[in-house]
Amino acid sequence: MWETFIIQPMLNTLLWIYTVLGQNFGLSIILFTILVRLILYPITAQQQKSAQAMQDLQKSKEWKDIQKKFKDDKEKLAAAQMKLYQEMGVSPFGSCLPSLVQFPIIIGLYQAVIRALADTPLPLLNLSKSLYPFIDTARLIPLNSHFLWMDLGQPERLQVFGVSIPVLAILVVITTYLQTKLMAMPSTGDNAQAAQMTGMMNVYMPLMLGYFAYAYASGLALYFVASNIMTVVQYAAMGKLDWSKLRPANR
Amino acid sequence: MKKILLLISFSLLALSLSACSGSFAPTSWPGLSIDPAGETAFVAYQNAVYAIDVKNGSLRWQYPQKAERSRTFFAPPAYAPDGSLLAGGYDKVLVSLDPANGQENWQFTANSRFVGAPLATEKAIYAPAADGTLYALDLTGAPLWEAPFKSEKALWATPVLGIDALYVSSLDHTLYALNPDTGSVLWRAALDGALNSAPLLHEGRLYVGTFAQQIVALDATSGEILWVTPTDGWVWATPQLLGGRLFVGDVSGTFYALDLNDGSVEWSITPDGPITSNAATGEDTVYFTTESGTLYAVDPADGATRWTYAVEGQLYTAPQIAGSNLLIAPITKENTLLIALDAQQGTRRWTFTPEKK
Repeated sequence: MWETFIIQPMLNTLLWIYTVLGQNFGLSIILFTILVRLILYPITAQQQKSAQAMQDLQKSKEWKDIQKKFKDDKEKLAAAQMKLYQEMGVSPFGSCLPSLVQFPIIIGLYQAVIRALADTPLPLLNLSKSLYPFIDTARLIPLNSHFLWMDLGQPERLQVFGVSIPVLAILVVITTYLQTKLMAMPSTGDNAQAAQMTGMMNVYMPLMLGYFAYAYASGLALYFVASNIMTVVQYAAMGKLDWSKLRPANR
Repeated sequence: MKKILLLISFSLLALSLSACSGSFAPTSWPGLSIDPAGETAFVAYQNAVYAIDVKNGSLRWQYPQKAERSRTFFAPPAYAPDGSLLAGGYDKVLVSLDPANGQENWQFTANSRFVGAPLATEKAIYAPAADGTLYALDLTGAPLWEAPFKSEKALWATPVLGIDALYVSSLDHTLYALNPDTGSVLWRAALDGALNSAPLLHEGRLYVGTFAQQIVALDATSGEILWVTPTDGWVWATPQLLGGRLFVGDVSGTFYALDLNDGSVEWSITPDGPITSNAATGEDTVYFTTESGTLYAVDPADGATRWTYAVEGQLYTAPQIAGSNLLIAPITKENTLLIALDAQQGTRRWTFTPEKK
């Protein structure tokens, strides 16, 4: 199921793009990421809408009233909040679940990249079984895994005066931080938990993805960077981008 | 709640990425070879090379004595004319061993891993590496050529020595003929697909399979293509010769008998799975294995099955004939590394499973 509906379509799309782009696997990953982001656009837009609805709800009088009314009874507060969610047609996980949709895509893309760049016999044999008939395997295999200074099947390090610098991992941390900051909804003044959650995301998300970029094949890191930039571009196109969130006062 | 969800998601993502990075799964299949006397079998698999007594399947020695996680071996160990055994590893090290006791003679460290077995002659050792480099060493491990030969893609196949040329298959879709003394290119034949197996050299002709789903015959002197026979899938194996026919299988799961002269298909059969390894030829029987774990013994005249032997696992490694024994090296859950069968009847004689340490 996972193989048929996730890995093989991703792998073959990647290889088809690779053929069209003159056998450049780095550009193939970037273009593939753009396509994925475009396909995920309705989910992204829904996420934005849900986040906005949640924001509006938390600013409403009804919300503030129940916070005061049940401040000493967490069970009743939770029940009242749930009732309010239903009445207002807001899903508490509406802004969270779309993010989770990305996880199988990240895993699928990673597996597709690793499988495409097979450099030992068993993985290459597995690759031969995953290819659609329209892919001209005879001409393509083995793939050119080099892009700029990187081997996309290996973790990336740039040698500068004998020092190994994980440039792509650093770029992943920076772009993820920027993306998380720019996308974060302003938390309402009286919702300390939400503010704490946002702050946690701003720190942990870039570090976690940075670690993945440092430790795993650089093809994945390239996807992270391209995906982050594409997300920012999409939000800008939706008119939701607020550069003022990057100012220190907004930390 | 959201915190927990986020934590679980990150953990799952990390676990999934780790699991698919291949760091825990074997990346190739066992490499199997036999000493010239047919008394000892050598199996290279994962963290060790094992020397096994062909008579009874007992372990003579293993190298390294204590398996090291950083060292992995898959290339078939090669017996050198000076009586030493050469084992190339994924740790980029080619090691010369005493085949009597597994003691180390010398080591040579390359720039890349060794997937294919080296070729050892009276004068030189030719070791193909996965970065496309072919190293020529003397029998003490010292480099012979001023600069090693470099192909554009990986070299996974053992070179083949002719009268005055060394033939090298490359994944860069090219078959090279090199001067064995200097490494200079005599000719190169650009083929339609990658070559991961050695060519068969016979009476001035080379026969080789490619990922372009074909068997190609070339003139060994000039590299001129003499005939091309299409197959149903990628060809991973070297064609084997018996009685004027070439025998070879492909990964789509078809096994062929071709006419040696013009490459026409005399017969073909479809066993139970993909074929990645060379066939073994007995006096009047051809043996081959499938990924589905079946060893086939067939009549070379018409492909009729004489007997089969199935294992609970996969068979990617070429079977080897040692006297009256037929040896197969499966990949199984029980970690059985070697099985000896009666080559005539297909009945099991012994198995070898390394002890867990």
